[in-house]
Amino acid sequence: MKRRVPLIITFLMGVLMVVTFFIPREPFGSFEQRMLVWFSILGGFTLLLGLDSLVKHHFRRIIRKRKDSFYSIVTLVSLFGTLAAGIVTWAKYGTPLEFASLEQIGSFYWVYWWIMVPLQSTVFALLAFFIASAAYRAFRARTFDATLLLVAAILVMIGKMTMGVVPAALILAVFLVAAGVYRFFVREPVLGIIFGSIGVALGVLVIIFPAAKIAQIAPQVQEWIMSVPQMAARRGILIGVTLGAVAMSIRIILGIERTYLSST
Amino acid sequence: MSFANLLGLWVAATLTIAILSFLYRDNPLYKFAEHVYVGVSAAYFIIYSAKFTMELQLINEFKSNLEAYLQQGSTSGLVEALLLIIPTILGILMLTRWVGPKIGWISRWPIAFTIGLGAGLGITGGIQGVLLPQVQATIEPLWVSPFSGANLWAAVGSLLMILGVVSTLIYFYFSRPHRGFIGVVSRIGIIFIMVSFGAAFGATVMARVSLLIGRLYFLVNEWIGGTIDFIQAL
Repeated sequence: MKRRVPLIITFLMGVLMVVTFFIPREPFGSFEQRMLVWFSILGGFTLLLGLDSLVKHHFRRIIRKRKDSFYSIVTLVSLFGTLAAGIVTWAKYGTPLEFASLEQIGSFYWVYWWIMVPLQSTVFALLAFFIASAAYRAFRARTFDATLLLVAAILVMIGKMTMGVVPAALILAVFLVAAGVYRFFVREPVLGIIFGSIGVALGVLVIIFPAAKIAQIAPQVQEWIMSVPQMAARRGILIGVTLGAVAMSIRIILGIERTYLSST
Repeated sequence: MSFANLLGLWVAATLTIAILSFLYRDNPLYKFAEHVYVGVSAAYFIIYSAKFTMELQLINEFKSNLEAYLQQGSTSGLVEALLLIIPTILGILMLTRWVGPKIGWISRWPIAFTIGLGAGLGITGGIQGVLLPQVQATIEPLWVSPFSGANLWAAVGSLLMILGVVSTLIYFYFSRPHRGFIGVVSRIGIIFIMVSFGAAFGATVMARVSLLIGRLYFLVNEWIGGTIDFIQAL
């Protein structure tokens, strides 16, 4: 019962989903859609488990007077405050996300608009700095591959710039020349000459061409990188990942892969 | 601007500065904002799911189908209503984890249901939604005659695309040692992968920077500007 029934359910569901895909007639035609609705309903119940886990964790921290338990109080107050706002707005307007205009919003939407949205976008904006510092550590052009990574990243960034394209391209040219000189004298003279030549050529182009022309070419270069070499590798990875996912799905349906049963 | 919105503006600005203060170092203001974010997000998704999943897709659907049966004698309505009991029971079974390990194992049934569903969808969706379209998009004309007036650069792009996809796939093929021909092709693959990662990194940085500009714009224009407007309007 504990292991066999879940394995049978998994097998039946997996086979049904595959079989119904090939039968467009009812009741199989809408089977996938119906199952996705069931899946989201199940997800709704699972959120209750998540809520229980979050509340228990923070209550424990408060009761045990752990270090920083004040922040657990903050979490619980925010959690229950937002839940209360949602329930009150829902009861009042029939929907929690009442939004006529920014001047006429329910308390739940107020929390969403003035607390959740700014926090979310600021947290993601903060990542700009961390990505930059991570790049400094990872991108020090020690190898040919790392240099390629760095050059592709800089070209894409220059292509997406709305201003300052020419100085950025000049900085890239100087960087390429420096990387070429380093590579020439330290380890790989051929690569050094290649990098150096590209850097010199880029520098000359930036100086010769008018700034408006450079600003016009940079987005085209960026678009080409994104749509050809970037897309090619991405496609290769996607195809590989999908083949792996299909193989894993077959293993799960056949009961070879059972790790999901070990969580309870 | 109403007082509620002015208050909202100040709350949003304070929280924005609190999160940005992490750039100096981890501090109580940042931790406060971080924990507010956790609490508010969790509550938001619970309310959202309660409204748009549990109410709209379960309760309202059940009610309308049952009413159709009771008022018009629609058998399909009754069947639809009864079918909705299945995910409800599965959902309740998921909650048996609360009771303890004695009957908590029953929660494996709904988990098995979702795993089976995901595995089935993984096969059909993966092949139809990702694999075939990606392979199809890769198969482009490799040769374009320069005299036909077609874009020669596009043909170069198609060739590079084929080379990139095949070499990337070979780089991730570990059943044979990467020596000889396979070694050369996988070396080309790593070059494509590096350019791809670099480009993806550059695009991500620019997206984050634009978000940062948005937040700085909010602080300067909306927060300070909005407050000045509010004071002037008094």
